[in-house]
Amino acid sequence: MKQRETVRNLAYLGGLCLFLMVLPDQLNVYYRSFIMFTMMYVVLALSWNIISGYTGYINFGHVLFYGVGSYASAILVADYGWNWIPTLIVSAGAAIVVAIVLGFPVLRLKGPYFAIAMLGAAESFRILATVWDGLTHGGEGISLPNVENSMSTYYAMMVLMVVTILVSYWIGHSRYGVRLNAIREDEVAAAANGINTTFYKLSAFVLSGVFAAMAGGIQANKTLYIDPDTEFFILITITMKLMAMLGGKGTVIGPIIGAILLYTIQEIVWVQVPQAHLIAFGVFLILVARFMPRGLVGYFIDQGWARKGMVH
Amino acid sequence: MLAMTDDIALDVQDLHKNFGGIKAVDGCHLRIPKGKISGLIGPNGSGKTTTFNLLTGVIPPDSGKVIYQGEDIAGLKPYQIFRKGITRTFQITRIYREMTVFENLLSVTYLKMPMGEVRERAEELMEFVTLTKLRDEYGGYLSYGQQKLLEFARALMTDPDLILLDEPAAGVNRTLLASLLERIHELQEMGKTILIVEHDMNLIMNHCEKVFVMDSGVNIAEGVPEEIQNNERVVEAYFGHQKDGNAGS
Amino acid sequence: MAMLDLKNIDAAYGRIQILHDVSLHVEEKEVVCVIGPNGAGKSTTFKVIMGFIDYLGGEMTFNDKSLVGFRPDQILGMGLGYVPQGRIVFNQMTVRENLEIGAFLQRDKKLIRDSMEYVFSLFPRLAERRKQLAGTMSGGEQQMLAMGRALMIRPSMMMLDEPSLGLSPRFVDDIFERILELARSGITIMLVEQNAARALEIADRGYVLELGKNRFEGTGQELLDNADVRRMYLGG
Repeated sequence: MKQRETVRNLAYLGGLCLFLMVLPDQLNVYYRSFIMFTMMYVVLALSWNIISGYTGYINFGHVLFYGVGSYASAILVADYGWNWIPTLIVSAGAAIVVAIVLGFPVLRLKGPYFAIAMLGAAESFRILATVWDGLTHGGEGISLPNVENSMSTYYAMMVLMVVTILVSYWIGHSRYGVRLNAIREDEVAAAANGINTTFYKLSAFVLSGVFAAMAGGIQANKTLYIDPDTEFFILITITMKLMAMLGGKGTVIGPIIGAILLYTIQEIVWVQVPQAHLIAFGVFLILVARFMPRGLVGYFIDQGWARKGMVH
Repeated sequence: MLAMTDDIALDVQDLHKNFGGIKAVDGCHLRIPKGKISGLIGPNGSGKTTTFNLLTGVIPPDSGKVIYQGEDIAGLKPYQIFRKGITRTFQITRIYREMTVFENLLSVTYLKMPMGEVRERAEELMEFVTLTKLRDEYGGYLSYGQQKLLEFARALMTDPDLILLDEPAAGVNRTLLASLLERIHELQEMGKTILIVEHDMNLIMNHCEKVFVMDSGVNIAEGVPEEIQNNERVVEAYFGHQKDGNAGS
Repeated sequence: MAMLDLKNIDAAYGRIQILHDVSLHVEEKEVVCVIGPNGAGKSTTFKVIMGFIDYLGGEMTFNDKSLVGFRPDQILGMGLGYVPQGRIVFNQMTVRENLEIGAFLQRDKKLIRDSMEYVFSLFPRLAERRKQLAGTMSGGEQQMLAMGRALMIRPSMMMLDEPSLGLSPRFVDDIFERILELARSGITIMLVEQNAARALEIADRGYVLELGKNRFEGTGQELLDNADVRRMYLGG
């Protein structure tokens, strides 16, 4: 039974990939870009979900990994003439280092304190990027050489999305994931039952950072221009969070649905009314938190359309 | 006097714990016999809860040793103590509310078994505590009594040799308590050692083979229930100290 | 005529019934204590009198007026003072401010000042520390402050819930001295205590509860001397 479910899900994923691979040739640049960014947000929402959905450490500064990744890549491409694809490995590496160094102190903090600390950390990175202009070109940002990257970044993002989905799926259905959930539910009980919470929290933090960083790296090579304010923009964190929450944090399909839904709505509806964008987001966040705290997936489970629990 | 023929599961030597000037545990010695159900009692403020927290790694002792299977485990963190083979339950249940009963059991680490066996063990334990029908229900939707049973089952996943129960009778009705106690006796028959910290005197006196009594941070008596019930010092610890002379301890 | 009279009281926390058919009374100017092992329902007795928990049946009157269905603040207004368990004082406020809060039912500033002087005369230690933050005082002093706060409404009867709980031995002596002082000044006292021996020493009469039911009653001395009472604490 479990085998069949896994095979079926993989088949869906395969079908989706095929569809996405064929798609770009049929579309113009705008739509290609739209799909690419949707995929990016799927990656971001899933990566946020790894730390915040599973372990319950709500990360208000997740964008810092995204920015670290995009800066690592951009610097290497623009200033050192690297080919952009290998830079993604450095982006991932940078995320790992940051996650470990930051994670040790910050993951000791509880709930709201952790959230605020991460918010502060993200802001610090933004300011650092502005100030350390020797490395980052400061406020004027980095312009990457004008290369036709549209197709290659599209495919790269697709591959990243697939990997992120696979890893999230594994986490969500393995005992590793059950233990992350245990930490969220009751860290004291989890420790009393043998879970080395430091290791699990840190590893989840690292994983979440790596995917966000690589997404940032790919994005930098698509838009070909980055600066501190766009790469460390707090709204990106809020968007990721909202997507994961809307879909259902702590699940696999939740962030995926949330990302696709919200990004689409955002692009189509809200861009029409730019000023209202932020307010709309704020209101939406409050409504979701108040009425659908467990997201769409949670709602489906309550209706009986999906099973309770992740591992059976 | 402890008979020399008794095997000792846990040897607590001279534990001390200070909380900013207050000597919560001031030289506690316990030799918990193997394969028996023992009780640790004491009036409020006696230090028994602090002792329990010291044994389970929640707080580190200031000094003293806790010898388990030849090793000093004093000061180890909870997850490390767990990995030595000692599990515990909580006074107010701490089960995982948004995870299913099955997942609650699955979350236990250090099982060193392939997944198939882990599942089997979980199924067995759910049977043991009669929660099989609720396998896929969220922990949070269980009644309090069922949560107690779940927590109990969770503490048994690793087939531990020593189990520490923190006020198992708290908030539990008589019927459920009887059920829990039956399970506890079954475990003891399988050769496990159980230490219960409790306020409920009936439970302790009727179900423990050995009782340790603490007052003001030290142990003041140990023995079988009858001995303890007739021990003047113990009676006074619970009944209270009168003004003249009988101060001390 | 009893000042406080409870007859056949049943009380529960939600669905869990704690008190079963409990009866007791306190005469004017008496010191009555309620003792018993853990889980006996001692504190619950106070809570049902004060209206904090669900009352299921029986009668309870204070000065012949029924207590049933009243809010805690209304019951305080009838002249029944209550010092809950745990030395609850407002740590970030001074002794004086804590006492002022105790007088919340009183509008007249002069009466409040008079009450405060009254409390200070009963507890000179508090007078010395009137500007000290409650959180920085010792356990014994905090207990006195909690009692002082309850006295601000000039109750004719005081209910004290485990006043000696968690106090070191020398403060225990102190607190029982203060309680006796209160009794001597004419206030009727009802006391729930863990330290049964001390409570019975100062009490005129006592009730022993077990598992939410009346078990023994008698004068303080009778109960102190009763071996069955002592043994009850250790079950079996």
